[in-house]
Formats: sequence, structure tokens, C-alpha cells
Amino acid sequence: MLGKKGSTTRAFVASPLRRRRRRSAMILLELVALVAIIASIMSLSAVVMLQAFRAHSEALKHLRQTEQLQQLVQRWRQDVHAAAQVELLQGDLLEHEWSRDAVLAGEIPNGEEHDDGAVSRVAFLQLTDPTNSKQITYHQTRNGLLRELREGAALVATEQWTLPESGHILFSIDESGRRTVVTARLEYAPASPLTTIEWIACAEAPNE
Amino acid sequence: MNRRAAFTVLEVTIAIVLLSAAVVAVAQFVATVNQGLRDRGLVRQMGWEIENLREKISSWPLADITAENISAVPCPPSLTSQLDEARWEADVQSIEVPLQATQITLRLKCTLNGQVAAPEQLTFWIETGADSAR
Repeated sequence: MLGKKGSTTRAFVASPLRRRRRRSAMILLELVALVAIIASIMSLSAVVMLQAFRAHSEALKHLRQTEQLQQLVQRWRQDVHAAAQVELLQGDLLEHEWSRDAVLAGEIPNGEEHDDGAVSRVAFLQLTDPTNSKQITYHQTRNGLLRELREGAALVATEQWTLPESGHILFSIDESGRRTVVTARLEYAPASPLTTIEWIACAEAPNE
Repeated sequence: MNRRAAFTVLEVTIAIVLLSAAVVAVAQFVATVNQGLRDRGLVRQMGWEIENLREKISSWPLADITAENISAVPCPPSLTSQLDEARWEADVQSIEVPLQATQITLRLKCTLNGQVAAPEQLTFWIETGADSAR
């Protein structure tokens, strides 16, 4: 009995050692697991937000380019509407030193291939007003689309329109209808995610 | 001595839940803005295409400008790739006042995400008095 009593007393009185081992926070394993979970959530959040902002930035860039194209198309349509005569002249993009006069004079060969097989043709769209005093030329350059306004021989105004990356504009003319139809086709490199866009404008002056 | 040495599990859980909710909210916001930008781009493209058709029709012989002929014009791939059941519709009528002309109302009808979209519409006139003989 005495022995039992003694053991009961030992169990009841908490030793200072036991009190020190009482848990007041998480154990190391819990902490590691928690840090791992937080790290994975933070990484996932960062990736999601990065992707979202990247997509947003791309969409915004595309929208800005579209706005700029809209301005270009408005200007081009006005020019085509006002034109009495529409001509398409071929030039060569790689021979960048050409001048419009050289193309007109036929000094620049049309459609001749380069040794490296590069695609180098470029079309000048030349619009002449009814009084034959003003000529507007559109053509592709390395930096975009160039619009030149000439009065007689004098170059009056030049505008450079930047096109979306790797884009180039091809012009074509259809004179089979009641009026001359000019088509501008904005094409991109095959690897580009952007799709081809086409604009049509009709010269107001009826065909002969 | 009841001094706290770390966060409790409940506190950490609440923090994680709040963080996740914030990330989801930001992602949804950005996705909504993106959708808005895409819609604006699509509307701009629809505007271009309807203008293109207007220019095309302006070059047709006047006798060919009928609602049937206009409806038969295929929708360009730039639109059919983004819209469902895109098609042209037109009303064509002759008017005398204020000038002798053909009034054409173009409509681009389509469905977007399974819903019928409000048609893009453009009305224009082609004067018939001066060169109707061509």
C-alpha cells in the first residue's frame, strides 16, 4: 500500500523537466510542411499573375497596333476615294537606294530574283488626283509603310506608318468593275500568330 | 507564462485562404480586361469587313446590287474564325429624295459564345442618277 501511495505521489507531482517539454508551437516537421505549402502557393500565384499580366500586355499591344492601323486605313481610303487614276508600280525592296523616278523609268528590274533568293519585290501604289497636280505614293519600306505626297515634282509630305512586327502590305488593283477597286493585304510571317487582314477601297471616279 | 512563439495553424490557414482569394481575384480581373480588349479588336475587325463590303458593292454594276447578291458574298475567314454562323444580310431600296439613289443597309449577323450578337449595321447610298447607264 505504501509503495502504491508513493508511486501515486510521484505521478501527481510534475517534474520541472516534463514542464519544459510541453509544446508551445509547431514541431519542425509541421513547419517544413507549412513552408512547403506556402512556397508552392506563392510560386503558383506568381506564375498565374505573370501569365495574366503578360497576356494583358500582349492584348494591349495588339489593340494599340489595331488603333494605328485604323488611322492608316482611314487615310488610305480617303486617298483612294479621291484618286482619279490608280497605278501599281513594282520595285525592289532590297535595292533600297531606288527612287520613285527610277522605278517609273523602269531602271529597277521587276520581279528579278536575288542571288540569295530573298523575297524583295515591293509595290508602289500611286494615286493621282483628278487635276493631275497631286500624286500620293504608298510603298513598303523596311520600317513600315511610307506615304509620300508630291505636288508636281516637289515632295510635299512624307508619313511613315509602322506596321505590326513582320507585317508587310501587298497592294492589288481590280479594274474589272464599275469602279477601280484597290486591295491592301497585310500579311505576316508564317510563324506569326497574327492573321492576314485585307482592306478594300474603291476609287470614286468611274472606270472608262 | 503563456508566451506565443509562433502562428497557430488557424492563423496560417486563414492567411493562405486570403492569399489564394486575392490571386484568384486578380487573375479574374486581368482575364476580364483581356476579354474586353479582344472584344474591342473583334468589333474593329467587323467594322473593317463591313466597310470592305461597302467598297466592293460600290464597284458592282447597279443592276447587280440586290439583297440576294449581297447575302451570297461569303464572310471573310478573319470573321468566321472568331464568330459562329456569320453571314451578311442587306436591305436594298431605291429612293428619290433627297437624291436619286439606291439605299443599302448592310448587316453582319452572327452568334458569339452561343448567343446571338447584335448585328453590326451600316447604311449607305449609291447615287444612281449620274451613272446609272453604266
